[in-house]
Order: sequence, then C-alpha cells, then structure tokens
Amino acid sequence: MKSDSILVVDDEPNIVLSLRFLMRAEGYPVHVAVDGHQAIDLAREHQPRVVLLDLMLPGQDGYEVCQQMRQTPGLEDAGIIMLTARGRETEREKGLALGADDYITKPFSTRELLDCVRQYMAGPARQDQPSGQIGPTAVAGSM
Amino acid sequence: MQQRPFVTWVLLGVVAAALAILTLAVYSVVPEESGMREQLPMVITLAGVGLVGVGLVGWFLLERLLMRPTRKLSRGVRALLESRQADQEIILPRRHALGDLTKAVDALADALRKSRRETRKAMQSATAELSEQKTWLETILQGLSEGVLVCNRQHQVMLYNRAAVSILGHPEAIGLGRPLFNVLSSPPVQHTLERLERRHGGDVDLPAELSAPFVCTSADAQRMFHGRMALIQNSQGQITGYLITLVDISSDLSRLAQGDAVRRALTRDLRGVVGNLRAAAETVASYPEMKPDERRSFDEVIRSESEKLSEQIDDLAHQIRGYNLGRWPMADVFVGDLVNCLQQRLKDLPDVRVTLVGLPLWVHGDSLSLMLAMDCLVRRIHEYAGATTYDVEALLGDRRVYVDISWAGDPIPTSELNRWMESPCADDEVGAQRLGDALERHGCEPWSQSAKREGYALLRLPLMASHRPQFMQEEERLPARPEFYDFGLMQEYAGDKTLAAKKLAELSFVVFDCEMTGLNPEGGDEIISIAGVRVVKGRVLTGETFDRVINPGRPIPPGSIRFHGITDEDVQDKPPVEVVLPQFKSFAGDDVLVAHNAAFDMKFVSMKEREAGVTFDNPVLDTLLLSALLDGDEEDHSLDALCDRYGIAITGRHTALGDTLATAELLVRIIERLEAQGYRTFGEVMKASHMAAELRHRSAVFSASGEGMESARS
Repeated sequence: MKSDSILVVDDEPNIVLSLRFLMRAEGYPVHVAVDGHQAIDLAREHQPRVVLLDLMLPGQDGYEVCQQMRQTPGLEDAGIIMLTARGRETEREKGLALGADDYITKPFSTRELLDCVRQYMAGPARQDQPSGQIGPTAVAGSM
Repeated sequence: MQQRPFVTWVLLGVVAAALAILTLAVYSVVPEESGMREQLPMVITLAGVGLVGVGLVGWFLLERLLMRPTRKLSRGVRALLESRQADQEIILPRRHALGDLTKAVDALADALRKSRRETRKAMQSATAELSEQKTWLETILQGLSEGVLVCNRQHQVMLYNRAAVSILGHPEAIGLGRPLFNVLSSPPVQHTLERLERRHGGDVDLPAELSAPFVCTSADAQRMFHGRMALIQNSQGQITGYLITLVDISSDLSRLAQGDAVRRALTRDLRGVVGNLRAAAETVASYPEMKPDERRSFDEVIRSESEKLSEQIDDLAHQIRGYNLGRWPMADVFVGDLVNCLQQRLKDLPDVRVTLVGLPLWVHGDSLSLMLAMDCLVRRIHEYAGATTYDVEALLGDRRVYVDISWAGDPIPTSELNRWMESPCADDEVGAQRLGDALERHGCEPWSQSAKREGYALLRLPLMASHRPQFMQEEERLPARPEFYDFGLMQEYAGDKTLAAKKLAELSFVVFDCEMTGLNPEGGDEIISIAGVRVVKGRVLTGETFDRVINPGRPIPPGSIRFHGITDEDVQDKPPVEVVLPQFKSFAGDDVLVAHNAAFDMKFVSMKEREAGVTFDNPVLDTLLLSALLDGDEEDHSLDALCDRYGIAITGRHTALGDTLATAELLVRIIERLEAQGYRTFGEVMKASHMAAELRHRSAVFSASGEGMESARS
C-alpha cells in the first residue's frame, strides 16, 4: 500500500528547506535524500507517492536515479517530478523520455509546484500517459 | 676533326718536308769533290733552324688570326643556337684573317635574331589576351579575404594568394612546390581528401558534391581555420589536385566561448540560485504564521542566495564584456577617412572648419554610423557653444582608440549631452536612429571635459581599436604582381624518383647570394646580408624571395661598404646570423641551392651552421662552373660579363637581392642551353659540373694568374 509521503531528492540545503516546509505545511510526510543511493533506499523503504527529483546530484545524476526508480518494484507508478535548473528543451525531453512525469524548471512558482504535487497525490500518475508521445517521429522515405 | 692539332701536324709536316727537300737539293747541287761538303751539315742545320722558326711564326699567326677567331666565332654561334633568347649577342673576334666570314656570320645572327623576335612578337600578341585574363584572375584571387591554396596529389602548393600567406603567418614557409603540411596540420586535410575521394569514386547515385567543409589548425597549432576543400579533376575525370579555402576563426572562438557562458548562465547557473530564492521568498510570504526559528533559517537562505546571485551576475558580466559589441557589421575604419567625409558633409555650414590633427589611427566600427554621429555632435556643439573651428584627434589608449573633438570654449554639461543622446541622429540615412544607439553599438560612452590647452574643451569618443597594426603599411611585404602559382607542378608525380634522375626542368632551385664584410671567412669576415629567390620550371618566382640584412657582430670595414652599401647603422637593429640562417633554411627547404661561385658563399654559410643549429645538406650548383662547362675556360665568366653576354639587366648589382635575381635569370638561360646540349637530368649536370670544377681547379693550380675566380667574384 502506497503512503502519502513525498521524497525530496536534492543536495542543496537552501531549496530543501523551502520544499520540506511547503510539503509539511500541506500535511504530507517528507523524506529528504541528498544523493542517488539514499534516494533509492528511502524510496524502497517509504514507497512515496511523489518524488521531487533534482537533476544535478553528486555521483549518479537525476536521469539515472529516475530510470532506476522506474525499475524498482512498487515505484512504477510514483509521480516523479524533475525539479531542475537545466532549462533546455532537449533536457526536458530526455527527462520525460527516461520516465519522469513532469519537468519543472527553476525558478518555479511554489503555488504551481503545490498544484502539481496535489494532482499526483489525488490519483495514480501514469495511467493516461502513453509513452512515445513526445520524441521524434520517423520520417517516411529514404534519405 | 680538332683544328689545332691538325694545323700543328700539317705545319710540322711542311717544315720536315721542306727540310728534306732542302737537304736533297743541297747535296745534289754541291759536287762531291769540292771542299764545301764538310760545311754542308752546318748549313743544313742553320737552314733547318730557320725553317722551324718560320714554321713557329706561321703557327702563331695561324693560331691568332685563324684558329682562335674561329673557335670564338663557333662558340658564339653555338650559344646563339642553343639559347632561346632573341637578344643573345655573338661576340666577334677583333683581329682575324677570316675575311668576310665574320660579317657573314654576324648577318646570319642578325637574321636569326630578327626572325626570333618576329616569332616572339607573334606569340606575344597571341598570349596577350591570355595574360589579361590571367591578370583578372590574379586580381580576383588576391582580393579575396579568404586564404586560397591549390595543391597537387603530393600535397605540394601550386597556387596561393596573399590572404593565405597572411592568415597562415609564416611567409617563408609558403611557396610554390613546397609541402602544404609545413603550414597546415595534416590529419584534417588528409581525412577530408580521403572522404571526398571515396565519395568521388563511389557509385552512389547522389549528385557528387565534390567539396566539404573542415576545421583545422596551422602546423604550429597557433591558429584555427574553417576550411573548405574541393577536388580538382582533369578532363578524364581523374583527381589531380584539390583546392582549399581558409577562414581564420581563432578570434571567433573566444566569441563562441563567451556565447557559451551566456547560454550556460541562462539555462543552468542562474536558474538554480533564483529558484532557491524564489521558493524561499514565496514560502515566507505564504506562511506568515511561521515559527521564529524557522523564519530565521528562511532569512538566512534569502541572504546567502542573494549574495550568490550578485556574485554570479558580476562574473557573467565580466565574461561577456563586449560580447554584443561588434555584432553589427563592422570593419576597420581609418579616422582620416572619417574626418574627410565629415568635412564634406559640413559644407552647408560655411563658417565651421574641421581639421584633423595628429596621426590618424584605425578604429573598428560601422563607418557610416560613426561619421553620422560625429556630424551630429559637431552640429550640436556648434549650436550650443557657438564654436566654429574644431580639431579632431585620434589617441591610442590601452584597449581603445579615443577620438577627441576639441574647440575653444567650455565643456558640454552632462545633462545636455544626455539630451543629445536621446535625440535622432541623422535625418533619414540609418532609419532615424538615436545618437545614443549609434554610439552604444560601438560600446562608446562619450563625455566632455576641458582640454589640456588653456580655454579649450573636448568631447571624447572612446571607440574600439582595430586589430590591425596601427602604424604598418600592410601591403609592403609582397611585391605588386608576384608569381603565386605554377600548375606545371600538377604533372609531377615525384617522391619515389631520386633526385639525380630528376629532369632539369622539374627541379626546384633556390638561387642565393651573400654579401660579406670581406673575402676571408677564416680571418673573421662575416655575412651581412643574404637573399634568395625560388626558380621552378624555368621561372624566376619574384614573389618568393628571401632578403635579410644581418648584424655581423663586428664593425663593417669601410673599404667593403663601397661594394655592398651596408653601414654599421644599417645593421644595428638587425638579427644575428644564427637567427637568419634557420629562416633561410626554412625558405630553402630541400631545394637545390644555386649561387655564382657557390663555393665562396657556401664556405661562409657552412662556417655558421653550428652556431645557427642548421645544416645545409642541399645539393649545390654553381652558375660559374656551369657557364665554364658550356663555353670553356677562355671566356670571362664573371657575373657582369655573363649578364652582358646573355642580355640580363641587373638592378641593384652588389646587393644580395640584386645579384640573386641576376643569377637566377642566368640559371634559367644556362639550363636552356644545357638542355639544348643534351643534358637531361640533374645527375648528369652534377657530374659534368664536378668535372668542370676539377678542370678549373687544375688549370687554376697551373696558371699563375688564376684570375678567373677572382674576377668572377668582384
């Protein structure tokens, strides 16, 4: 059975402070991981419904953590929200392709973030998101 | 049959026969019993001595009046026949007994010369049109700002333009027939060539696009180029060479790096900090009932992140300083030209006079905007301060060039100047832009202050300095119409052949000459100038010369100055020989070295090899020996005499370059004659020239005068 908890994965205490406060104020239990290993361990242990994942982590980066989480039993349908300063379109595409549900670029509005988190808390995340929706389409014909 | 031995034997025979007849006649005439018989042997001996004397005198007269003039005449005729020049003279013997023969030969020579001249004239008019087209092509090529190089399959340069020389940076390493990879790194070029050849050879249906872009560096990795290669095919569709165009992108790289810094900041670095800041600020605002210790930690986040933010902004601003400057199409602008245009434009204000003072400099900018801005400023100052005479002066700052407009009166207050900046600059020329816009584009923030001169004020425009050297004439390095190409090299499939088997016409020579402080290298005489020119396929490439004055590190003897004209002052700021010789070696490469009386120059050069750290192991040819090989030892083989004989005009005799160019012309004529005599390969010539050297050496040892070498040197 999945809990209502949230896993915050970020190595920067200054953003962790805000995220933890906001999520607690909304009444969600919050766990904090500062690197990829800890994130996987905590996710196995607590089965969070939503993961707020930073991309620039020491050691494993966020993309890798995201992929591993998706392969971890019980985490297939957790809502993974990438929260990152990498603002390029290709990075967003890569994140979504590797299994993230949402990609929010820093700086973000806290209100929008809370709306987003509430949405994933309300229902299972990955029902109606067919994969391959984004990404390149094969071009017919030869080059 | 040899003339001299023949005549000698005939004379000897005649003398012997006369003696025999005389003996017989005397014995038959004088009766046996007379007492005179005893005296007969004495009489015959006396008569014999007389006959031998007459014979010797006869031989001498024949030699002087017939044989020597004949030899001289036949040498002249031969030289004329073998030379392809129209102005080859036949030197006629002065005293001779050949009768009308010399005049007849002279007339024949005249006729031959005339017909050669006519042929040449006809050829000239036929090639005139061709040469005009060639000039067009050359002008276009030389005007391109891209470097252009054409190479054959052996990667030898067959054509280059001036831009290639200047962007590749090593003028002495670029030359016709020289390896391309002396100046350009080879892997990108080889790789691109291979790729294109595969594409050319492949049976792909695609339209064969036979050119491709590539990026490469100079051989010393100092510069970076954006290149494009195109294959050159002959009429059979075989690849015979390739064309490379080069654009120097070294300066663009730092621009690209700056662009990267901006992009990284916008897509990553700044976002993180602002993200933290915004999240903290919004949290604090949304939850006013927060506990005091929680509130304190949020305040701490806001403080530290704000600090980080301002540091990053400073850092970014530092990195991209001037990044957007120069984005507008800009060029090097000469302040002198700007002021000229300004004077023309201000003609409608008859009492206003603008004068350019000081040395005009180069700035980097958009000429029209700058001129309009200055026009506008002068008019505003005139309206505001009423001054009528303005001086414009360019000053060189550390990183910028300041253009000062000064007048008698007070400085313009800043508030007034700011008002001008907001107003439109020119009426319609550049879309009615504001004065401030035009200047800001040049990174220019003008101000007004009092001038050094009492009672004067100035308005200062700090502008971007141009990258070109401010005080150098840039066209100086190369002559106006140098020879930059030789497509004959296309046919050369060299490499596996040895030098000795090489055809004379296909060799690449470097003809050189040195001037020295004296004639004695062992006694401390030194080289004070060295010059060289390349000769390829019978053409003297006056565009590829080497000319250096050398500081000999010792006083120049006044006696030698009248020969070479180089004084102590001329050499005091010149490099020493150990700097210049490696440069010359780099110029000469592995080409055949040629000099007039080469042994003399090589002696001086070889004595400096160790000091300079280079070895000249090139094969060496000597025009003096070659000339002796052609015309025998009797002629005068000094450079002056040879130039007279071959009709070569020397400009700058006794300057290293002047003598070099004359020797180069001489080499071309000599090679023509050697070929006419049946010498084909370099090896044959070397062998014959060694023999000539040997003969000359022997005759010099035997003859007391030995003046051939001496006079040749003078």
